[in-house]
Amino acid sequence: MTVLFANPTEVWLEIPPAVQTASWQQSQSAPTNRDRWNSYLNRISLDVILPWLQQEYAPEAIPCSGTTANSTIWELVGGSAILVGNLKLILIPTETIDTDEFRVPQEWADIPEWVGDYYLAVRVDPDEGYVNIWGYATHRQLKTRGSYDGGDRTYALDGDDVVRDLAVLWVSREFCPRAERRVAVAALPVVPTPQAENLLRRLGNPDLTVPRLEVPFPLWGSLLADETWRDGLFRCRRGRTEVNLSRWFDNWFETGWQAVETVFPTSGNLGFAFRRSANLRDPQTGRVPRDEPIRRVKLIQVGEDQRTVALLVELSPESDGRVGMRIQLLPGPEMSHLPAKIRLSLISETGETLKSIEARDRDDLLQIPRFKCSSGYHFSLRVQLDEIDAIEMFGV
Amino acid sequence: MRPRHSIIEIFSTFVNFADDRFSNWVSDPGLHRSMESSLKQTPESSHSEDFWALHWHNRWKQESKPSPRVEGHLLAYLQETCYWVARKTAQAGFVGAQVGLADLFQMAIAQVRRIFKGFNAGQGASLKDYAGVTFKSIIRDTLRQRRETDICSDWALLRKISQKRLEEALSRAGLSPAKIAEYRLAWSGFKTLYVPERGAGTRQLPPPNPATWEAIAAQYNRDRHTLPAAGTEVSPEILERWLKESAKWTRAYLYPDTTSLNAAQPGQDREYLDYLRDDERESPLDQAILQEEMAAREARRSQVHLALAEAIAKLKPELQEILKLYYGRELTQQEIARQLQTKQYTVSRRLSKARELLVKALARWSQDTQNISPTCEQIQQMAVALEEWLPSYFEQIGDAQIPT
Repeated sequence: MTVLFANPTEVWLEIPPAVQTASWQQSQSAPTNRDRWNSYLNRISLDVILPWLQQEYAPEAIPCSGTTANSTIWELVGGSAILVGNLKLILIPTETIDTDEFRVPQEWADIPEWVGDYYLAVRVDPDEGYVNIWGYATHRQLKTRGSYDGGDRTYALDGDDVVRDLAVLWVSREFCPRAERRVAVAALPVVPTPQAENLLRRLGNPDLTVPRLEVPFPLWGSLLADETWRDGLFRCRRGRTEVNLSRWFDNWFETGWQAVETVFPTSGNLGFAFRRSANLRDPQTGRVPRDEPIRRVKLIQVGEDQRTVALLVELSPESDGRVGMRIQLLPGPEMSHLPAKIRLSLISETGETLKSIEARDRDDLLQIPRFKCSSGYHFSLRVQLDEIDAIEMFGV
Repeated sequence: MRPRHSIIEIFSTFVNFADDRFSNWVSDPGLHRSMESSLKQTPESSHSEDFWALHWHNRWKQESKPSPRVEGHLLAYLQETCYWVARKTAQAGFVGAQVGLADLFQMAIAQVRRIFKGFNAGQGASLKDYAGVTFKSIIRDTLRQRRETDICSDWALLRKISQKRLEEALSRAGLSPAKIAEYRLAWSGFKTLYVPERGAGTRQLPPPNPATWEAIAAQYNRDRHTLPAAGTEVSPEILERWLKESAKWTRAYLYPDTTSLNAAQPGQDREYLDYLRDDERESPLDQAILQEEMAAREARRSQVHLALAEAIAKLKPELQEILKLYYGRELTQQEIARQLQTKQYTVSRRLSKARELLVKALARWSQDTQNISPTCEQIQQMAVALEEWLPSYFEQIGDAQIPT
């Protein structure tokens, strides 16, 4: 690293080549180029700055909610949180050459759980191999002196209002521990589950380049504030969640969806067999469709004790071009009954609960009555036990 | 360079360059008359350079839109400081032959308002000292930006500028606010949709491919309703032209034409019609306050020097050495790295650590002498002041103690 014109008030850190290579590799699973690039910059800044903090200033510094949490954020919004005792630092990396302004995404300033004490302006130069912390601002400075830009939902602080000396941060921490670094922010509304699921489906589409700008901030903010939804959105964008049923007809199955015989080698003994011959006959035509129905099963863990149950989906092409669906919840291979009070619900595209059934004591089967749907329809299944959800989403 | 002697000269003349060297002082007649009459209105006892520097700076802070006269006096005052910083940088050799003395001078003086804005008179340092430190950091930062900008392709550069810089570059190029909004929207779409596909070599980013241009155009046309004046639909070709122009203007922004600067335009006889209004006259009370401020600053300065000497003596030898080399011998971080046979980032880290310990020592000293904890703002000002004190501290103790 050679920085010809380094100012002593700024911090210049080398990016070790190993960190750079690893950061690039770890960012490869991102759904789009843009997400990959953002993850890469954020990962470098965290993996260079955190060890330096621990070594020089605060051995107790840790990433805010585990590195994993930070990495699920990066594909949705840039920035990482570090905890130093009761102090929260937010790293905001950019590639910007000039230091005319410091922009912080609204998420870090307005989601109550995300708000930090200090926001560090970080320049990452992957070519020269350095990370430069050129200044910082407190939450208060950001909110009172910064101007809000609705175009990209950031707070922009003029470069002259950024404190360009990190020494001040450490000394203030010691000498004015009770200084008010934060200002109060408004609570975000609670998004009801159906609405959140709906949002997840819409925003989880990786074709949306910048999902954070697609819905009003309070909705987006509360979605991100909830770890489960945020994680769901992250996985959704990575295309892991929605099961694409039409591809089942081409013998293409998502990970986890296995043949019934694989999961239940002795299925003949189980009481779940569909009364196939009767039901497969189309009530209108009385004809039995040529194609065999496709059945797959997925084992999921639910409830506080992580009980294993099996979700079974059967689909069959209908003569009218639609697809017939049958859904069952069964005890896992090692169990004889379903846990009492376990609940299986069918939720529509718009988040409406269409059908919901609960197991009684010693039930060994929950079944959603057969229904038909057209191509392009989305629905989800929710399995609930002890107030803990498992959600599977489907598209036909 | 011939030093200026009279107070009138110091606050009303400007450096003139010829062949990239100092040529002469050029007087601004309007400022000259203003100084003359201001001097007549104040007692002889306050006719010091420091007094007038504080006076005009106070006026600058008080006025919501500082008058050209007040700015003119301050600008004239800081000419020498800026000249010496530029000259020192030019002599350091690492700048490169293509950057001349006049260029460095203009680079720094162009941002002089940052000094007026950032200077805080109550902190023991003089406006001149503060300006010296700030000019130095402005020059270094501008040179760094030029160097990084020069090796970027247009497309890489556009990804590496802030929105504010883009807007200022477009505005300096003479675009109307409505046009700036259109270019900004195009730029924002470009930046969103065109990202590097490799983890390094980002400076040589090639032009986007046709599909990416289509996507950028589609996004622009979808979002153009957000423009203040509803723009017309644009093609990928137009967007490409806009972005190329933006890159060109962004580069030009770092190489300002001297005539476009809001800085000195010496030799013009500007008439400051407002300059003798009664309410602008300094009252005797204000003068007394200024005098007091100057005395307090001097007292504080010598106290701080003592505290600082004590704090430096307590640092680990390797940190002391870094400080001496950097602030005393004025070596660059690379030169220090070479001399100590270490990496630049080690020098940078040690320097940061040493500065932190000194700011901490000053904060503690302030706490002990004032019996009250300093506020965050005060700590910030101490850190700024430290940058001014360190060079003069090492100047005072002399070269003898500095290891070679």
